[in-house]
Amino acid sequence: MSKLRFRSMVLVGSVAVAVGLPLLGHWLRRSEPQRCAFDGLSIESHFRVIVRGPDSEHHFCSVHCAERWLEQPGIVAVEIMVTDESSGQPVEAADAWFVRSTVTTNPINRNRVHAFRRREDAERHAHAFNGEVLTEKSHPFQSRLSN
Amino acid sequence: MLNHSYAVLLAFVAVIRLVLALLLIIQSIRLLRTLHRRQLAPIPSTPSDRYYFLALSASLLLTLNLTSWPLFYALLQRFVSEAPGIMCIYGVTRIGEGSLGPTRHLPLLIAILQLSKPLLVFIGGSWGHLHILNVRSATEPLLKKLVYIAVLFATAAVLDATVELIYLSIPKVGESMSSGCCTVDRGDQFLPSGFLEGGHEPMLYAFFFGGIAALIAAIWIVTRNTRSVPSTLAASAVFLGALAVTAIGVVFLVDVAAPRLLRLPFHHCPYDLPMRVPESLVTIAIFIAGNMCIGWLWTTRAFGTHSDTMPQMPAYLGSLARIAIWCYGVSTLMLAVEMALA
Repeated sequence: MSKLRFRSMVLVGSVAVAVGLPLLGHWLRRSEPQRCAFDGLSIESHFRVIVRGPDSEHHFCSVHCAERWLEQPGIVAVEIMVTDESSGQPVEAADAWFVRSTVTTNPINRNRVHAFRRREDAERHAHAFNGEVLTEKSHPFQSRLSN
Repeated sequence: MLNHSYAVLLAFVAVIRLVLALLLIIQSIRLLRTLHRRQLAPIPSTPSDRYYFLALSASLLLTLNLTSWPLFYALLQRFVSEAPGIMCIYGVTRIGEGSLGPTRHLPLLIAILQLSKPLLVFIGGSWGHLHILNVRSATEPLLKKLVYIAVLFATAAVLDATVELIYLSIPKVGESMSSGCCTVDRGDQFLPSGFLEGGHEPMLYAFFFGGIAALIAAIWIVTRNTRSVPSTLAASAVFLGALAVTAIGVVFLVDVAAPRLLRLPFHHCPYDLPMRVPESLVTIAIFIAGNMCIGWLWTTRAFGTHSDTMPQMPAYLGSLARIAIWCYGVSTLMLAVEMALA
């Protein structure tokens, strides 16, 4: 095999690997479940928070991560949806009741804030797990919702 | 503690490395004494006979050091699943911060090991390339230098293996974790921050990709003449350039590449990449290999100069340069494709 032919084969092979490997990785990850936009944790459906901006939508694993995301400069939220832990249904953050209790939603970020659609469910959770129902002043998204 | 397979394996390799490195130091000292005596008065036994046993030990030590590098990260990855509240290796590197017991030394020990592993491969590789050049020459003129480098290599390996054994012997479970990448105390999550404030991304893109292009061009210019050896000054300049590009590359990786590849704009953690984007590990490994080649090119040029080695030197340095150019080219192309797809 001539030197030129060998070099051409190395060049073509290198380009194929350099382009093919990222493409393969991208293709294999196409069906991966959505992860939290803030810390990359997998999202459990009962704790999902969705923040919609003017032209984007981000999903979070917990209220804590959504709060931290919204603290970043330049972030605009048009709508914030939390998940009612009792039913698993989405509910607007402005209409939800939040409880800070001893129960963590995941061991990594140790989020202790829980969202409920109905006040009775929130109070029941607070009573059962030594928590407190958050008032308007301590509402997780108060600053965003009042804008 | 040695409570699972990776820790046992790493401890086993560390003990072998420690013994082998001590043996290498003893062999080197004995050989140096022989060489010194030979200078005073000729003796019948040839030093090169002893040198080959030393070379065998050094080669084995180099292989074991190379093995212990990924093993070390495999162990850290294993700790992620075992320690509560930790999401990636960055969290493992923060275990022990703020504690009062022996656990408080863990972050420092990890930092030392993360630096010493590549350094050991670099020193061992430098020795290996000089050894090849020496063997290829007729009179083996680099013998004494090789023994000195072997002593340096073995001493570094002793320190690395000792630090590794100390790290393994300190308990990690049951100690309070400080805040790290997704490790939490007091409910306040901490994320590793970038090196620079926001808004520097275009500049980092230009510096990194421009730096790589300039480095490849510099390597090609310095080694393009296959009949002459590049000057030590030129080789040193290329090596310094590679170090500068690596420094920019680290900033680029943490500030730009990691958040983009992970699709987490505020997550400046390169340790997450191998788990979430495994092909990025290949990219980083090839880039490091390119850096090693440039480092070895410099050490071979700086310490391998002798009238007997000069005939082989241009071709040898040319090979190293070509491998380095290939590594930089392929890793940069891979990174560009990965970032375009992210």
